Amino acid sequence: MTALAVLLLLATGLAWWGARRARDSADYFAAGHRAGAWLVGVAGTAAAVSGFTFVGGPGLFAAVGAGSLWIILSAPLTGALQCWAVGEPVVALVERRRVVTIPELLAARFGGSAMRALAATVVVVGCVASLAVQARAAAVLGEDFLRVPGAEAAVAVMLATTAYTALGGMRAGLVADAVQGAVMAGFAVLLAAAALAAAGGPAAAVATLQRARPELLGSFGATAPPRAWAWYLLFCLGTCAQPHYLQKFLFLRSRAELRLLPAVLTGALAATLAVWIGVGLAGSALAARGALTLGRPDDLAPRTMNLLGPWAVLLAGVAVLAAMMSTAASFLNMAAAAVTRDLREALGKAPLPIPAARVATVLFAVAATAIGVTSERAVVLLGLVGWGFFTAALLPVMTVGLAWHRATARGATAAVAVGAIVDLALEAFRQHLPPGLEPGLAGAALGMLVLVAISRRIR
Amino acid sequence: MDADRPPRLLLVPVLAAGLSLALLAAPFWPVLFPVVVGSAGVAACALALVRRRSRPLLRAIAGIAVWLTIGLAGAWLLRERPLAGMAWVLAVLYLLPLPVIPWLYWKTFQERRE
Repeated sequence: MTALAVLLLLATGLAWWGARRARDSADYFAAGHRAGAWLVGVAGTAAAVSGFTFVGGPGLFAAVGAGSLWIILSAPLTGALQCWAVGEPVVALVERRRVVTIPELLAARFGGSAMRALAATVVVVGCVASLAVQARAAAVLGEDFLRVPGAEAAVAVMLATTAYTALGGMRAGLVADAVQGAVMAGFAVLLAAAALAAAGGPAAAVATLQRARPELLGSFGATAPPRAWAWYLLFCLGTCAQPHYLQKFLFLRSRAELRLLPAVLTGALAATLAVWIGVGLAGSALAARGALTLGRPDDLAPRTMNLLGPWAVLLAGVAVLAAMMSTAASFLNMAAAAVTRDLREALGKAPLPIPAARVATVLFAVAATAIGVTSERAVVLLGLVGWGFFTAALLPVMTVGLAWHRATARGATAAVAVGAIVDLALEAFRQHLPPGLEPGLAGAALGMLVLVAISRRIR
Repeated sequence: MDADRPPRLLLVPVLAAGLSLALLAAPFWPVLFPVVVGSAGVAACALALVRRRSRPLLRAIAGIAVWLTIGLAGAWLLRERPLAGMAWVLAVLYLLPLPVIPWLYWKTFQERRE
C-alpha cells in the first residue's frame, strides 16, 4: 500500500511538471520532437515491455522450457531492424511533414482520409483492448506481489498513469517511461541474478533440469519447432508494426539520433529480458527440486520471489507496475490522439484542442479499468487484440508500404482492413490451428498480398 | 514506369509477395519455416537498401544473413540434444549478436539522407 501511495505522489509531481510544458499538439502527442536516443531508447523499451515479461515469460519457461526463448531470441536484431525498416522512413516523414501520430504519418505517405480513419480505428481498438488487459494484469499482480486488493491496485496504477499522461501528454510520459525503463532493467538483472544464485548458479539449474525435466531443454524445449519459428518471426517483424514502438520514432529531435538508438534499445531490452531467462531457468530448477510448488505456470515468478524474500517481492512488484504504467501511458496517449485528432481530421473537421485530449485520456482510462476489473470474459476476448492484431494490420503498410513507391492509398487501406479482419477471424479458431499458423503473421501475409496486388492493378 | 525504377525497387513487391505466400504455406509444410524465418528477417533489414545503397550496409546485411542461417540451422541440428541445443540457442542466436548488430547499424549509418 505504501508503494502505491508513493507511486501516486510521484505521478502527481510529474503531471504538474508535464502540464506546464505540453503547450501544443506536438508537445502533447510527440514530446515536441525534441528527444534524444537515450531517452527514446530506454522509454521505448519500457513501453514495449509489459508485465508479461516479468510473470508470463518465466511462467512460459516453466511450461515449455527453451521453446519460450524463441519469443525473445530476436531481441539482438529488433533494435537495428526497426531503424532500418521503419525508423529511417518515419523520421524522414516527420522531418518533412511534422506529423505527430501514426495514422497521420500513414495519411502523409499514402494520402486519403480513409487510410487515416482506418488506421485510427485500428489504434483505438488495439489500445482499448491492451489497456483493459493491463488493468486486469495490475489487479492480479497487485494481489500476487504487493498483497493489496486487486481492484485497488488496478485503480491506483491507472489513476497514477492517467494523471501524468492526461496532464503532461508524452512530454511527461516520455520522462516517466524512461525512469520506469531504467528501474525495470536494473531490477530485472538483480532479480535474475538472485534467482540463479538461489538455484546454485546457471550450471546447477541446468543440471537439475537435465535430470528432472530434460524435455524443457534442447533448442526448442517442449514446443513444436514450427510454433517456435513462428514466435520468432512474429516477435521479430512485429516490432515494426506496434504503434507504441513506432510512436517513439516521432519523438526524435533529428535523424542523427537514430545512429545510437539500436544500441540503447537492445541494451535496455536485453537487461530487462534477463528476468525471463534467469527467473525462468532458476525457478523451474527450484520447482523440479521441490523447493517451489506451482499450481499453474504463472505462479513461477511470484513464488520464486517469495522464496528470495520480501525485498525481491517488493522489487518485482515495482518493476511489474513500472512495466504496466509505461505501456498504458503510450496506449492512452495514442487512443486520445486517434479520437481527438486523426478521426476528426479524416472526417474533414478541425482537431480538438489539448484539453479535449486530456478528457479523452481520462475516459479511455476509466473505460479500460472498468472493463479490466469487472469483466473477466471481456478481458479474455480483448486479450486477442494485441501484438498479433497490430502486426497483421500495420506490418505491410509500415514496411513495404513505406519502402515501395508504387504502393497506393487504396492498396494500403485494403491491406490494413484485410490484415485486421483475418487476424481476428483466425484468433477465434486459434485452438484448431496447426502449430506455426500464427493469426498475426497470416493476417500480415494476406495483407501484404493485397497491398501488392491492388497497388499494381490500380497503376 | 517500371523501366524507370531502379531494379531493387521492383524487387520489393515481388519479394514481399513471395515471402508472404511462403509464410502462409509454412505451417502446412514446416520444412519451409526456417527458410522463411531467415529470409523474412533479412529482407526486412534489407528494406534500408532501397533508400540508401552502400557497400558497408550490404556487407552488414549479408553478415546478418549468414549469422541467421548458421544460427537457425544449428538450432535445428541440435534440437534433440538438451544441453548443446539450449546452449547453442542462447549463445549463437542471443548473446553473441547482442553487441554486434547494434554496432553494425552504428557503423553503416549515414548522416546524410539520400
